[in-house]
Amino acid sequence: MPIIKDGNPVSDDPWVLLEEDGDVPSSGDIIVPLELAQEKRERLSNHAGRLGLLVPNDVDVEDYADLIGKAELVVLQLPAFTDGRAYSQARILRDVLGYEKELRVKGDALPDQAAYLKRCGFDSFDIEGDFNADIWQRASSHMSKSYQRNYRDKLAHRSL
Amino acid sequence: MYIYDDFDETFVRERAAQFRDQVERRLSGELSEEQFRPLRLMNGVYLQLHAYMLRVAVPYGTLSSKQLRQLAMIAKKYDKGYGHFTTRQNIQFNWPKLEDLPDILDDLADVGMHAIQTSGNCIRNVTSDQWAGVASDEVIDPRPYAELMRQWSSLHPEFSYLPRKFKIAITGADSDRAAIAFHDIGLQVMKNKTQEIGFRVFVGGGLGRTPMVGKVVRDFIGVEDLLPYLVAILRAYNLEGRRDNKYKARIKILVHEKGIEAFQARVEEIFEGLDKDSLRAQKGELERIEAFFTLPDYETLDDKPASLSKERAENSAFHAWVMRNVARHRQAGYAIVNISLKPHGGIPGDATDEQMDLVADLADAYSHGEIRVTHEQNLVLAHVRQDQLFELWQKLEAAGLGTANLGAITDMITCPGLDFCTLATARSIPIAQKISNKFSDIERQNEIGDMKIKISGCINACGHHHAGHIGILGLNKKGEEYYQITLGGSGAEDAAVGEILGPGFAADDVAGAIDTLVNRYIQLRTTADERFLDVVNRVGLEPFKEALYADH
Amino acid sequence: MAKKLKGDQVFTGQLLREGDVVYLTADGSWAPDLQNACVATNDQEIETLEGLANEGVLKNLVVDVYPFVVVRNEAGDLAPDHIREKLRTAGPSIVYS
Ligand code: SF4
Repeated sequence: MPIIKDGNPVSDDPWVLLEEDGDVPSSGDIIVPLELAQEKRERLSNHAGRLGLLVPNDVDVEDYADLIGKAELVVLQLPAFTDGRAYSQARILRDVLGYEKELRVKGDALPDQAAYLKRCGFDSFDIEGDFNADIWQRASSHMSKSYQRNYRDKLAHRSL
Repeated sequence: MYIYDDFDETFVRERAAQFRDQVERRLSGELSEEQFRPLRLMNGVYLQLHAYMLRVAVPYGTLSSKQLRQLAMIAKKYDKGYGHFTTRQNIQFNWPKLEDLPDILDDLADVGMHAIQTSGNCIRNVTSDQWAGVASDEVIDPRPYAELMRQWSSLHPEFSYLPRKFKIAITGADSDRAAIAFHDIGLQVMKNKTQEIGFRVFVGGGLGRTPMVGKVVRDFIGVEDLLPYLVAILRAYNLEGRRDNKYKARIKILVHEKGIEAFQARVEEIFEGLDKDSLRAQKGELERIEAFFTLPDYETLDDKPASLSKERAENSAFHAWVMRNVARHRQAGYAIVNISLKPHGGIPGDATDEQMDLVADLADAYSHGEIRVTHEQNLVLAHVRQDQLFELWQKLEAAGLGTANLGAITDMITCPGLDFCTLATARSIPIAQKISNKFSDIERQNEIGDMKIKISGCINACGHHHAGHIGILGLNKKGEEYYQITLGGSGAEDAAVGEILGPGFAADDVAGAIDTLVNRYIQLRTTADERFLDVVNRVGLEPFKEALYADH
Repeated sequence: MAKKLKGDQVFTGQLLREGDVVYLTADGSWAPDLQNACVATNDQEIETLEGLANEGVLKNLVVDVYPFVVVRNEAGDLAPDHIREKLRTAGPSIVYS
């Protein structure tokens, strides 16, 4: 599936994901695995291009606040669609650390989950499987109401 | 009781429409079973041993007569004319077809009901005290908070893919009728020294294969901070709960492995960092909800009217029923009526569509149109005039709903077991029936007194067997069903996990074993008031073991 | 997927639309009566039946497909060996509804 943003496939996503033990190019928009980013902290500080971070789903994102503060993209992961840790990581990034740049989810998710993910603060999707615009649209637009305040909601919802 | 406004109504309608779409996608093959399963489960749809099963949420056990009539209609139209009330105060239909389920959800939405989150690894239906608002020992009515949590937990964006299911129970009374110590989170509404309302928070209780009594994680949290505090607990659990092993995934294991102090410190740390204002109920919302839970306009009546004494004196069956099934009400001249769904030899918790219709009518005539479902699988009419008890009882009795056994040995909690459940290792209903028949004599039941027998058909413990004064667990050895007996459990304010007595019994021998235990208890008790549980706690298991296994 | 089970086997599943319990017949269709089930007596037959059963899954006719052991009772009828399958085939053992 291509990267999905605002319900549409993105044809020219500039981001390149680096290998865990790979080299770090000196330019370009790169997504660096968290561990590598720590190791190459010095190198990356002079990187000509934008920096993205790939964050494992078992870390406490608050421990990496400084790295995350410098990133233009954070990618959180769903190793299985039933694994909901990234939802909480997203909320911490958005609501506790105040991260406001692009937040992407990568991995296994159903179109039916996109709405939940968006409400937690994700804005782009790198999901396995085929993309069907119609299903995606239907699945993510069923619910017009929510009982919880969602990311970027200015107004509180009816209840909460 | 709470009534949906446009917002709630739109919400459940859209949810039903979404499920219709998901079912269509499944039937057309767009969705595979693997993809569909979690979606159907979040709408309460299981595939059971013989058919699909739909579990409908009865939030904190409260129903209007209109809702109960609709459940009766569903039972008749789409099922085999009955429903099964569960230990989570819900109702299950055992025979719906997948292709009918979207229509059923629409029918439920018509009366402000749904099946959202009655299954799946999410926050389940919040349960509460079935006597909430009317109990004589109540400090604060828990229902407004239960409703607030129902709304807050519905399709929660962050907590819908937890490591495992998550159950919250709340009570506001001194006697714990909601088993809060056996829930993932248990809340006790209370007032602190300065008369401020808040909650004592228990965490990590549960039954299943590793039964644990919940521990206090917060002595007091104010009403304002309830939702942020729940977020902190759930976030800690969502991030750190085990996902490698289904049987170790409940929060009780996290709390146990981490230790309550470390878990508490983690929760407090998260709580401190939260933008609490964004997580609190909107200003005025709790008041809006509370307005639905004011007490009905009671009339000024005499307590214990002369007519009632006369009726009791003249009719011993009625007297027996009043003794067992009618509880004290906070309002003079009124009573709480408990309708037993445990007729002798019947199926615990089942009600036919006709019975549901009748109870709905009786609720309209005698109890302000409201019905409660209890976690012990019975029904309650919470506002009955004492001078109308006799009339009401006659109508119940005529419909097979007048069994005078509330809290007695035949008022057993029983899970569906291998007659319906695909996870079961043994049957539970036939065991309950045999015990019920053995003890059907009301006088004998009254002589035995308060006794809680709880039966599960497998280690998942939906029948709360660990919390039974006598617990019965159905297992399977070389293709044969057999039953393990535990003693000394309690789901009340003296919460405890029962201990295994010894080797198990064959299906045909269980009722006899219970009889032996009961006889031994009667020999051992020092006064007629000393309950079975009290005796077990006083003398331990040994005398009971001797009685059961002496000949073996 | 089929675990090694000791004995003759039939495949069962539940109809996707209705949820009813059904058994795989020799021609790949699904019948409500166990007596119409096709019995596999060796590994090769089990494999063949498993292939047929999976087709039913792929065609979205049935779900939760698996094999179980059957024996012949005195009357010569097929009967499940295990208590769970006995109850699943016969229906609830109690008078409900
Ligand atoms: S305890 Fe076991 S048999 Fe009983 S309902 Fe739960 S899962 Fe099914």
